[in-house]
Amino acid sequence: MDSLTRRSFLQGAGIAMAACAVPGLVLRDGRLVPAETLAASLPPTHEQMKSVLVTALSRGGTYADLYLETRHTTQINIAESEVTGVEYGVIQGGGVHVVAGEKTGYAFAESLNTKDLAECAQTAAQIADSSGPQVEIAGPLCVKTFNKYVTCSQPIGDATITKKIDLLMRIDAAARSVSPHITQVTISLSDTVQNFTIASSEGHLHKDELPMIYLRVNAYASRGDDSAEGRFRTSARLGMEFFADQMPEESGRQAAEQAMRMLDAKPAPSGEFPVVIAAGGGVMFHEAVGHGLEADAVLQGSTVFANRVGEKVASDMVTLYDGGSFSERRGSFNIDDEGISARKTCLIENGILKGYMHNQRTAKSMKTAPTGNGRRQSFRYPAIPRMSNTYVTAGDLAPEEIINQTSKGIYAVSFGGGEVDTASGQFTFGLREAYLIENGKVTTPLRGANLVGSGPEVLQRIDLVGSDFAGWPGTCGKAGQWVPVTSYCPTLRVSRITVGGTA
Amino acid sequence: MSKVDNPVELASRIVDVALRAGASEADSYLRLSKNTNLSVRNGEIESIKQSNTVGLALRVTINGATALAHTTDTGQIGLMKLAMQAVDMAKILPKPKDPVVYAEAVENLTGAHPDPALAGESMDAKVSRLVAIEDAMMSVSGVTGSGGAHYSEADGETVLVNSNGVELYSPFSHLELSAEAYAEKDGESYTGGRYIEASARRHLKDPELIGKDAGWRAVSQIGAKQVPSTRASVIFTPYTGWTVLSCLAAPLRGDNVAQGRSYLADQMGKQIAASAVTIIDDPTMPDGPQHRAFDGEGVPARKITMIDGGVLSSYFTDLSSAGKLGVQPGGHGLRGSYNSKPAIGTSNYYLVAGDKTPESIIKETKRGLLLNSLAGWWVGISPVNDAFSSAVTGFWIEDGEIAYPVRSTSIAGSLREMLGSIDRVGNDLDFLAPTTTPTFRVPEMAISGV
Repeated sequence: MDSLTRRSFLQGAGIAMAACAVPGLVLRDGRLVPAETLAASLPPTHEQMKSVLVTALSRGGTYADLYLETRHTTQINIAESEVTGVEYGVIQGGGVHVVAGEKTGYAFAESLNTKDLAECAQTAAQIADSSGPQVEIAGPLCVKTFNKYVTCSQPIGDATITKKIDLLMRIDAAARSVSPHITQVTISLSDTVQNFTIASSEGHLHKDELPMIYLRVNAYASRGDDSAEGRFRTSARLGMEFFADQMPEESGRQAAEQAMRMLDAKPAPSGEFPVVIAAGGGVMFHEAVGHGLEADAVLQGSTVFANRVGEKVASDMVTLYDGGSFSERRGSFNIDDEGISARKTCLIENGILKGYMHNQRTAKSMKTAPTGNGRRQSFRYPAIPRMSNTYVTAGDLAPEEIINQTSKGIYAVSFGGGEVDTASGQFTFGLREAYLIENGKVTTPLRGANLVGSGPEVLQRIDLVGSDFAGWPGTCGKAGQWVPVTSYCPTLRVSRITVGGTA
Repeated sequence: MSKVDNPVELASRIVDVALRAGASEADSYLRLSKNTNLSVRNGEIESIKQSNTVGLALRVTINGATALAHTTDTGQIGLMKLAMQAVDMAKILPKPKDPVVYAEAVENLTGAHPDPALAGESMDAKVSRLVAIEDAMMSVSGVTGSGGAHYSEADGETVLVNSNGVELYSPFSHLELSAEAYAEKDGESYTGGRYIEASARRHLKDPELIGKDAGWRAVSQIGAKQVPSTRASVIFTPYTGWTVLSCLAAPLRGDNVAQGRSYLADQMGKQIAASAVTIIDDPTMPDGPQHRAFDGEGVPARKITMIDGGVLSSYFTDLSSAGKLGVQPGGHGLRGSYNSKPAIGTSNYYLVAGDKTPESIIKETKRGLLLNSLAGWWVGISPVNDAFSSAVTGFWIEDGEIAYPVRSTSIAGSLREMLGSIDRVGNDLDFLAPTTTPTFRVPEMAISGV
């Protein structure tokens, strides 16, 4: 530089002065980098982790775990064809979970410091009272290996923000090129790398690293007085290979094309109709029965599916599974957040209820094995029974046949989410893109409407199941914590369900 | 546990570091919170969760481009890393058409008042409150099971400092209380619940009343069935009416309006609702659950009338959208958590009470549905599509009298038509939730059952 502006001179001086003031930092290429890691931020040793668990169980208890986590998240937002925000942050800390029978104590700290974690253990331990059962950890914690389902070939951490912005601009351009009626496109890309360690009173220690990418595209179309919104969501436990080939362009196009189709949408009808759920509408099962099969609701007596193992709870065409052992899906993992190996659990087989989804606490209470469904949003929450990748297996019928066989009804193509009251079995989920079926043909596009019904009743009314298969990413909220999930299913028909339209 | 002795000094220091590292403008947002979550079921503690948290976010702007970095590590190295990360990101971004605007300093802007008694309340006292709620709930005849009584409390401080000289500090307290009851009869199960939010314990309703309400909501649904599909009146209650205001917030967001994706974009000054409809957002209300003195950008909070006698009077604005729309900033740029960038949101947001009693509104309804609860209404929220559709439970009204309980039924309508036709507004407004309404009636909506 031949001339140093006052500002840049001051900047240089400022950083140099800061470097002197703060031990352990070195100025390199104009940037401040840590010279070494300070002892205070080293994670605990295995022995220290065990001693935290012993403290956690010092007043009694049937189970305890220590969950340490470091998670890096980047988010980039695009609107009006430019970057409106870039965010990056790290969360790091540990939580101690103590279970005493049906009771749960939990405390967490935003620190990996053993002293802080021991304090959490003391706080969480208060839930137990010394007269109850005690569990002892025999011997040192044993490091466990496990099957890896999740792999990534191009780590997210190696990709620059500039490279990600370029991908998003391709999405934006592709969406806008669908039609001059596309007036707005907003895009959000978030990626996460999560490192966690789980030490449990079962005597095990597990460590794992998981990536996650979540892409959301909204497109807005406007023509005369009509306007409509189209959405595309995609997510995977992958690295940057997620964006291979024309995937960015395809994402933008799908959102914009849905917005264009919905410009012509008319009000949905009102009343009971046959509804053909397109492949990918698995959210229906997530709400209609999924939550009702989480074992904590069973223990609490707050689900209509309690005490019904062995009974027919759905049409004999329905076989339903849940599990984390898939390679790319958003709901996948190698081990759950209590260290239990991922697997596929059959929940309903040909309409018969086979079992529930468990975490350590519910499995012990119901004297059965955990199913790898113990999940938590982060170290700030205890693990509870949660779904992961929930899916209905495909049948034999060609999907077009299902529409042909429906003289009047609704064809539901894409969904926005739903809710359930597991105690009464009442559930609802919302349509974002749907069409009328008239005389076995797909006709008029319909504005979004809710479907509502009783889970057990609706499941019995599934009368046609197709041979295709697809799914959507989602984020499931329960007890104030959110976990990533997917729901998959083939095209299938519900013979009768209430549609909340206006026409 | 890392404790922050001087939060204002810390927040100021990180802004200085950012400026010296190359930022032309910056702001920092620090949130400290002591949190307790407690559940009681069948008379005993079922779970306790506790934590002491700290979170810091730094926004920096360089050549008009802005980046945000966040951390929970407020030690020296953590702060240095934070500043470098934010600066490194902002440096490589292209300059946007509309750079982020930072708030100007305002004289004499002080923080909110938390509940000073909160810190002193023992765990036993919190447990006793929940036990009392559950007891009252179980005492309602017909209640057969408890989903528990739950309490959560956050007690803390927020600080906002920026390079324009804004230096704001505010303590806060926030409480949530809920209870859930089950009523089983003839092989069917019904659920009833009650949920309350407040910024101080003195605003919490009498525990007995909360428990009894949850119990009654379950029991009153016994025997609920679907209604035949029809068009009829729908009476929204305080427990359900807030969903309509929530849906309305989407097209009222200033960023949606400014970017041409709102069905209320060209409606300022026009009659968009019935004259009985006045809707206000007021963060300054001391009794409101979302009481604050300034927003997440440092703009002073003010009471704003969004819709006045049915006429659209204001959008929800943050600094950026206020600038684009040429209006005074509304102070609606909120940070949902320490690591969120400011985004437009509502505070104590309500439909102003009318003078009718809820009983008289029911009596004057020939046929319709009195709502008890809604589900899934939020799926369709959109700033460009005003379709409102929700699963409901409630009571069918015939000739001004409640005839039977209803569930597995849906209501639907156009939000603009609903607002335009509201013909009764009740006098029963309370502020036990951040978005709230009195009872009000929409004379006709589609009701879907069998």
